[in-house]
Amino acid sequence: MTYIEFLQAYSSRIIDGSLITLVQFLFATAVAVTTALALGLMRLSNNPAVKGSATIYIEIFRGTSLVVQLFWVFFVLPLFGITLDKFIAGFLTVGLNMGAYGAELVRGAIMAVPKGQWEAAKAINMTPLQRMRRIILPQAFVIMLPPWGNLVIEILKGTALVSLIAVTDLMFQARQINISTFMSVQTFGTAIIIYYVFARFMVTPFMRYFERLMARKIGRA
Amino acid sequence: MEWRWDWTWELVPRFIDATGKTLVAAGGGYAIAIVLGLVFVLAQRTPSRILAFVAREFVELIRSTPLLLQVFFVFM
Repeated sequence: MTYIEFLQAYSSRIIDGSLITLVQFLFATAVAVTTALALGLMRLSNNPAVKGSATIYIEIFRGTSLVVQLFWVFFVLPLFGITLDKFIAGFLTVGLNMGAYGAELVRGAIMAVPKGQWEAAKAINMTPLQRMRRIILPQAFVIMLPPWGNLVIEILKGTALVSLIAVTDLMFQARQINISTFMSVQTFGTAIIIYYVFARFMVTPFMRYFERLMARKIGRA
Repeated sequence: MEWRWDWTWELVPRFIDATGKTLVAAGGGYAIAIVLGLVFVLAQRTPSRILAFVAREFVELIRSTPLLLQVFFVFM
């Protein structure tokens, strides 16, 4: 079987898998951004209970392996009465895990906003909420976007692990095709190229564009 | 399903075994990573434009594809 024949026979499954990977990636990113923002702000709280619970969450999710977390959510949570569909369990776990990494980026970016900005906002009598929303967060956003570009690639790579709980993503389809054809170089090679094109020529350029756009919005282009 | 302590204790030796293997794999991984990291950085800093370009692109390829897929690609 030549590579052309291989593509003719299996391209529909590869495309199906790629679309599932894409959807998993988008949902996982949404979950990660939400988690990261909430936890990053909690980490900066003065309330020790709020700050402590965020720290515990971050340490647990960063300190254990993503595969183990996936298996916990999919196989162990049902024993406690929480049964999630494998598709939801997949992007939710990847998102919650990557959100823990993102929380540190959010915290770092907020702390990197110059002291003068905080003081000026206070001097014109803004409430802490107004100051955070209108002065600090927009600037922190611009600061944190470049490291987020890295994390978003990590999220894309993380979604390959959802194949282990039988979500039919690109990784899963590649393994299935390999089992029936034994053409491992072609199957896994094609999958690697798809992930690479996706990360390098779609996700990264988008993030770069987004960085420039946001920098321009606060007048730093 | 109920929690069974007798079964849990039966499994403990296997977990200890597996933990040892994890540590060995991690240690070996660190060692290889340090050496290869130096090799790729040196390749990128040579005067040869071609070598630098190839090294850079290879690093990007590895960094932006899932580890699980790389493991399957190499060992299947």
